[in-house]
Amino acid sequence: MSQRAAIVRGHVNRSRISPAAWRNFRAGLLFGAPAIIGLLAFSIYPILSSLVDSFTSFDMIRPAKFVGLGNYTTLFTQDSLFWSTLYNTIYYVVFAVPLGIIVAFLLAMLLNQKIRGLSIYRTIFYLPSITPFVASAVLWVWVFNPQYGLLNTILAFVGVKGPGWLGDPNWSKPALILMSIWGVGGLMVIFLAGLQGVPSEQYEAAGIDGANRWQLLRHVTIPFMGPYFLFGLVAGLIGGFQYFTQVYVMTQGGPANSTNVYALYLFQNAFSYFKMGYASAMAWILFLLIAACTALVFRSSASRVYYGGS
Amino acid sequence: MARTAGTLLPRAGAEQRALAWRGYRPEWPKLFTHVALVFLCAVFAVPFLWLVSTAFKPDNEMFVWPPVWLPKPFTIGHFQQGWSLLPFPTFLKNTVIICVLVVIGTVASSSLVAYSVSRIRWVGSRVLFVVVLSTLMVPYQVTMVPLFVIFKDLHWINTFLPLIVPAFFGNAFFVFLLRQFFMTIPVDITDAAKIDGATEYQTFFSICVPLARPALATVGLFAFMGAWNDFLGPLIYLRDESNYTLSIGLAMLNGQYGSYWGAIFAMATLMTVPIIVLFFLTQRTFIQGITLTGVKG
Amino acid sequence: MGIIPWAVYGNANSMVTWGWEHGGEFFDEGKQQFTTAGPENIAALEWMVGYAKKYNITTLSGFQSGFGALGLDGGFIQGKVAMQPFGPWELPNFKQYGPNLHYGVTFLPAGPAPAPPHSSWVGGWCMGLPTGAKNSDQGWQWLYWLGASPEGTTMATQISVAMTFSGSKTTPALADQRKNSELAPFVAILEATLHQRPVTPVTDYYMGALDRHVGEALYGKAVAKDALAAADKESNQELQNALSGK
Repeated sequence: MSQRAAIVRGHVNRSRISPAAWRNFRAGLLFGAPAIIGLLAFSIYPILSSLVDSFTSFDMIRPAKFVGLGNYTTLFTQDSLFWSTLYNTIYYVVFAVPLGIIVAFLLAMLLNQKIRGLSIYRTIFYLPSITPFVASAVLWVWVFNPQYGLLNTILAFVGVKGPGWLGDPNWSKPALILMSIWGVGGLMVIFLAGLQGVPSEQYEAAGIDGANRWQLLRHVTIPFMGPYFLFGLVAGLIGGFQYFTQVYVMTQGGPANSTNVYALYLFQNAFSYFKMGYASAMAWILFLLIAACTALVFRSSASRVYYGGS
Repeated sequence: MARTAGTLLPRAGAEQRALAWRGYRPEWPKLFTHVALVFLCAVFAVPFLWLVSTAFKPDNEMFVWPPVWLPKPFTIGHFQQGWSLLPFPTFLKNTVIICVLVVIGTVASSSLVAYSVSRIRWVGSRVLFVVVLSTLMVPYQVTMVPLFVIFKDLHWINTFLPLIVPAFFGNAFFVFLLRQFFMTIPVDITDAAKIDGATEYQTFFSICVPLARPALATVGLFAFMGAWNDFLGPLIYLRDESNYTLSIGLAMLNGQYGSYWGAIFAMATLMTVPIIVLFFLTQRTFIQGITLTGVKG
Repeated sequence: MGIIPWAVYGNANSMVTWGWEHGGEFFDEGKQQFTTAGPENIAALEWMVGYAKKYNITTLSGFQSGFGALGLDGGFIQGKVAMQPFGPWELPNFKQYGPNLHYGVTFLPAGPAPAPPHSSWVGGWCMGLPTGAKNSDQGWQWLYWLGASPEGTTMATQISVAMTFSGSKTTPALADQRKNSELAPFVAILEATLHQRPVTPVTDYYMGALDRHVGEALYGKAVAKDALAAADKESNQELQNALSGK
């Protein structure tokens, strides 16, 4: 803005922008070029296209028909499934994301020690994430079987009668949440990488000052892991709100609508009911929701996340 | 509770205590650790073990109740069957080509972009990051079709290009991850390099990249896994059977009117082997990549 | 278990199976409206709900899912479920996973009077020619060849194990199947079939709505009458939208 003012006043003064800033601008642009080009080529058109679709009625066979905000109003006022699937999805996000982060962190801490056979342990914890889903869907159905599945067998060991899990509308969501915690190996690996980066000098300094284990955790480890927790939270939110594949393969939204998540309903609208316009509206509502949550998280973390770099 | 090293030497001088803390990593009581590890291993490993054991079971033992753990006749027939039913060697070759290229492209481009939005102070860094991150927030179900149209117009359908080329333009998820990592590198280090006359590229390549080895290895591993197990992409963009990947091959065994479950489990087991190997190799960078931030006061 | 009524390929398909068996109808061609909430269908659903309550549907679904990937067939193949409505495409599964199973094939039992004696239905896939298609004549010729010509129907049977299309009672493929002792009962059933699911632009939506509402009734979250009425209401709304040009 100050450049404009300068030019208008007739002082074309290039030193307004310092050479360092210019250099940084060029460098930033250069390094960021792959993403910028990629965005323009592969992302902008599909995303804008879906936005346009959301204002139409479009069955993908015949040309789209403009309906203005019709899809949006129908979703908010007439579609009870919109609200119930949103509820199911939020339920999932609220439990699965924080639990996943906590468990992943605990596992990473556990594995960050000098124990024999550590590599093997790490690999085993990572296993559930590796199994191709075609096969693991069968697996999990067995694990959750109320009569003799792995889970209820373990519970019986401790004298607890396990619930119906995937067959019981009251327990189906907890079952899915549990299943996603099982797959936390990926986040665990990321946290492990992060734990490597906590400078041991910090531990030394704090330890010399007489800190005990819990204080070390609170004042050294967790602050340094801040950026990674932030990543886990935001990535978890983004992924959790779009939770789809497991539901599609294993429960199809049942039993009694209890696992009918937003993305499943969206998918059905798009590809089963041929209502692509309606589905696009759903997608953009979800986008705004995710963006709002993410912005909130970033804003509230700005003061609390410690980046060793700055 | 075990005593911390500090309290074991209450009277020792400052240097001795400093030495005792050298290379400290947080530790938990040994017994607790071992018990927890064994229990958790059982929990995490059992589903996978079931998968592997079922791959060796004869058909009639597969779905019995209660489930069988040790296959009675140890059957390797499923592996032979799976391998021969469909051209899996071709699928393997295709998948490897795609995965290797995707990993190279992803690691290279994502790290460059992450560097741009984290270590360079320029006007667009925040905007670029926000836009890149936002692309993750739009459900793929609605962007799938327009994207397909783009590739159709480019005549890339039935080639590997739609699966490989986007990887060279930065992956939003990994850009985010690497950005977080890069931001933990102290500014003093890069400032010092700049003062010594290093260009941005030199700073990136000689300082940040080596420091980021564990994170880069993680990204490589995840990118490989993503491409290896990717089903939807190959499903949409590949037409000829000669171009198919392993994940499609696996799904082909799952027919509408009946599935070769034995072959499915056998092939699924085989498909996890390269990832496990890769994971092991990746682990080494974690062990070697112990922090070298060496910022002296 | 004797039988698990809602295990006929999902809630929606189970509903139409037993609804027709009780003598109900699901669609009024003349009025172009879904008529799910008729008294016979409500009786059928209440029969299923009675089962669900008596044997505890949660326990049963656990029982069902225990047969792993074989799911619905699994109980029958393992000899734990006595009767189950099936289609001929299941036969290869029986051979592969239950070689020692003794079984027979017959008509679905008739419902309580005044239900008709036969209530089998055909399902599967249909192919359509959209209005405005570029090569509609050729498209129609191909559809005719596949669905009604001797060569086409024979080829379809060979590829899919299943039955051929009902528009061609004279096809040689059916004659062959009549000679096959396992498939012969299926041919007899096919020839006596009276029903198919409603053919509308919104049938997918309808089946989805039926699936959800029947599920709610089975789990006791809705009364049978209300569940079926809700399915009707939603689907008729969709149908109106579709027919009026959206």
